[in-house]
Amino acid sequence: MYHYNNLNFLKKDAALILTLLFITIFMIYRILSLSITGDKLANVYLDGFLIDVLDLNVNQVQTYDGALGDVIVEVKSGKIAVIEETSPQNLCSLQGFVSSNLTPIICLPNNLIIEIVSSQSEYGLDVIQ
Amino acid sequence: MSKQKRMTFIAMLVAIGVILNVVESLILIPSPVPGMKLGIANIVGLITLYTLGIKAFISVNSLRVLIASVLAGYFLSYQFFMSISGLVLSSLVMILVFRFFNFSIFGVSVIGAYFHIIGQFLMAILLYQTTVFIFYIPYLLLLSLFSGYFVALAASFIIKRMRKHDFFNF
Repeated sequence: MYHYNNLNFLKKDAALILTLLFITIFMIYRILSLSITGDKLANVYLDGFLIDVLDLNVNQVQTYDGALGDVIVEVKSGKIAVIEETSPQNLCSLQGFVSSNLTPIICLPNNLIIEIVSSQSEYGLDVIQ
Repeated sequence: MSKQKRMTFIAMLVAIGVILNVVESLILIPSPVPGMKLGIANIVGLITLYTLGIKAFISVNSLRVLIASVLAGYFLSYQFFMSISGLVLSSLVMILVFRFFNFSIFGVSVIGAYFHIIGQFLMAILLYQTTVFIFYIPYLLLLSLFSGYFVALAASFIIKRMRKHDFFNF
C-alpha cells in the first residue's frame, strides 16, 4: 500500500529548490545591507520585555535572571558577549563577543535576547533634525 | 496491511523519531548561526507520509514532537511552542505539495524544511516580541535547502529498500 512513487529527483524539484535558493540569496543580500556603523547600544530583552540598555563603549559586566539561572553579560572594547549561563547547549555563550547588529545574541532557553542598535537612532536624533 | 500491523509500524516510527529527535538535540553542529539542526527526525516523517499516508504522518509527527519535548525537558516552554508551530506549518505545506502538486519526495522534503524554519520564527517573533530573528532567518533557510535534500535522500533510500524487501507485506 504505497501512496505515491515519486522517490526520484525530478526537474520540477530542481526548479523549486532553485527558486527558493534565489529568494533566500536575495534575503541575505537585503539583510547584509542593514549593517550599522558608529556608536552602538545593546538592548537586553528578558521574556520579551526590554529590561536594560548597555553602551558598548563602556566596559561592564551585568547579571540577569534568566529562565534557567543567572546570565552574565560582559561588554568589552565595543563588543558584547554572554560569558556565563545555564542552558542545555550553551549556544549563546559559545557565540562569543559580537559587535554587529546582524548577529544578535539569542539565549532561547533563558528567554534572553541581546539586540545591537545604533546609539543615534536610539536617541532619536534623526527625528529632531 | 492489517490494523494491528499498521498500528505497530506507527508506534515503531514514533519511537525511532523520538530517538532521532533526542539524539539530534545532543549533537552540536559548529555553525555561525546558533541553533542549526539537520532535521534528521524528519526522515521518519517522510517515510510515514510515503508508506502510510497523510493521517499517519500527522499522528507520527505530533506524537514525536510531544514525546521528545517531554524527554528533553522543554515541554510547554517557548522552545516547545516554536517547535510545534514549525511542525504545523511545515506539515501543512508538505501535505499540500504531496497531495496536489507532482513534486517528488525531494521537493516535499525541501519545502517542508523551509517552512519549518518560517513557522518557528513566526512563533519566536510572536513570543519574544522582537524582530531580531530576521537576521538569522535567511541563513537558516539556506541551510534548510541542503538539509531538506539530504533528509529526502536518506528517506528515499530507506523506502526503496523497504519496497524491495516487501517490508511488512504492504
